[in-house]
Amino acid sequence: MDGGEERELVHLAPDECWTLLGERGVGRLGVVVDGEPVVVPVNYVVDDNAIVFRTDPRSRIAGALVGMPTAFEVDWIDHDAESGWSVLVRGRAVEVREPDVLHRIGGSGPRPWAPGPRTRIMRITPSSVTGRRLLHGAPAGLWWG
Amino acid sequence: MTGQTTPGVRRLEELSVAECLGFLARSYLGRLAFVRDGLPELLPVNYRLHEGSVVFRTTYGPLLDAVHLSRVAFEIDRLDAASHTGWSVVVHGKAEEVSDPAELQRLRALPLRPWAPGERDHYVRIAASAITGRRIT
Repeated sequence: MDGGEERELVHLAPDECWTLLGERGVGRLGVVVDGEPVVVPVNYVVDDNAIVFRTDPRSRIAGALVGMPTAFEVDWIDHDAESGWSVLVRGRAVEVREPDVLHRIGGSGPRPWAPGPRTRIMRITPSSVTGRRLLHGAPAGLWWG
Repeated sequence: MTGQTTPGVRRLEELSVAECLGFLARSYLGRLAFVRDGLPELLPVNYRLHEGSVVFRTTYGPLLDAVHLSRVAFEIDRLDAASHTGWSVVVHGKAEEVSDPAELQRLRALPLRPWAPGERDHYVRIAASAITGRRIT
């Protein structure tokens, strides 16, 4: 650390990551479909330290999702203050079937981002949760490299 | 265009490639998705649209190794979690390190600073095979 020009990436503790995840409602879901990366934005809620979202069972991603490893990313950047954070949740996606959970999130749960009948509720139970906060100005190159 | 939506009645509209490029030209933070060891990876990157292509800069060798000549997906969006409206754009294509000296010279004029000064940096371009987007109002 040698002065005000330093830009700093700070690793976030898991509980900080969960706090930040709870503050947002839109994330991006990454999954491998036929060997290729696919990314879609989804609305989500945090429920019992898991990410819960809805998918359209007819969508391309839905069939590739069940039981598969996912990367779920949420970020926030303050362009004026040139600061921000990013949290990455890794884990397998499973369909939520427990009646108590469905009841709990049914009324207030995440609406799908796109309109249409999206009925399958999915959960990512994390195998890891990592996050970084950027201090002292956003680099205009790669954020997290 | 805020406050124009009717609750519960949202409309999905596919964006043209020109509209997608317009959003890409006006944004500078996106998320890069790629596959490493068979697993999905997703991370935010600062980028610029340069001569119609998404370009980002990295000093991080493992990332470069993972994406160079690999299929990637690159996403930008502006979505409102409360109203469930907004737009998103996804670029699918192959990432490739830029090595042509003349192009590198042009890229160095872009406002893409590396975050770790002094280290050797690399420019990566996404050669797009598809650019799709949608808007929900």
